[in-house]
Amino acid sequence: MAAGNKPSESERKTAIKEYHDAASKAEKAVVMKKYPFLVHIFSEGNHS
Amino acid sequence: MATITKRGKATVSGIPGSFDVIIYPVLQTGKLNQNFEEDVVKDFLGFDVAWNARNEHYLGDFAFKLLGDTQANANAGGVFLAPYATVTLSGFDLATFNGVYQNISGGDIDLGNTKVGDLASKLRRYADATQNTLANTIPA
Repeated sequence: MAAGNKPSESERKTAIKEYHDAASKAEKAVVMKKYPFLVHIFSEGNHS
Repeated sequence: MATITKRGKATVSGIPGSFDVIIYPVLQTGKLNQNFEEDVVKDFLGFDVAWNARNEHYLGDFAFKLLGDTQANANAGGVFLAPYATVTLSGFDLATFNGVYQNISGGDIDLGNTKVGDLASKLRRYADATQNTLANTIPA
């Protein structure tokens, strides 16, 4: 991720919460697309 | 949340604290292990006379139970973190535990037919702040 795209702390927290709250793999994939930086946080995101 | 009632000598008890990327699983145990690489030089009789230590870092081993207010939340906790994902620990009574870590190899998700699921996370933090920042920086 380029330095300019680094998420703010609040954006990171929001994205993580949304990812955890997504009930299905399909919903998690939608959250992943919304916050691309999540692929650097959750391993599942690299495979879906 | 209930609190521990204490009398007498002060003690460190329990492991209250939070992980920014782990929301629902509940922490059960946490252990930090100090590591550094050594280069020890001996004299001509084989006695150690010089010591060089490098790369001091702490390896964390944390165990959780997969819980949640709802079944979906409990399920949501059973995920692996990406290699080297940045994990920030905060709110621990011992300041040594607080800080920015990277996720390293060895995480576990453990299910059994008669027990609540377990999640284990292995983390690493470098003692040197500059080195630790580098370890958590994604190359441009």
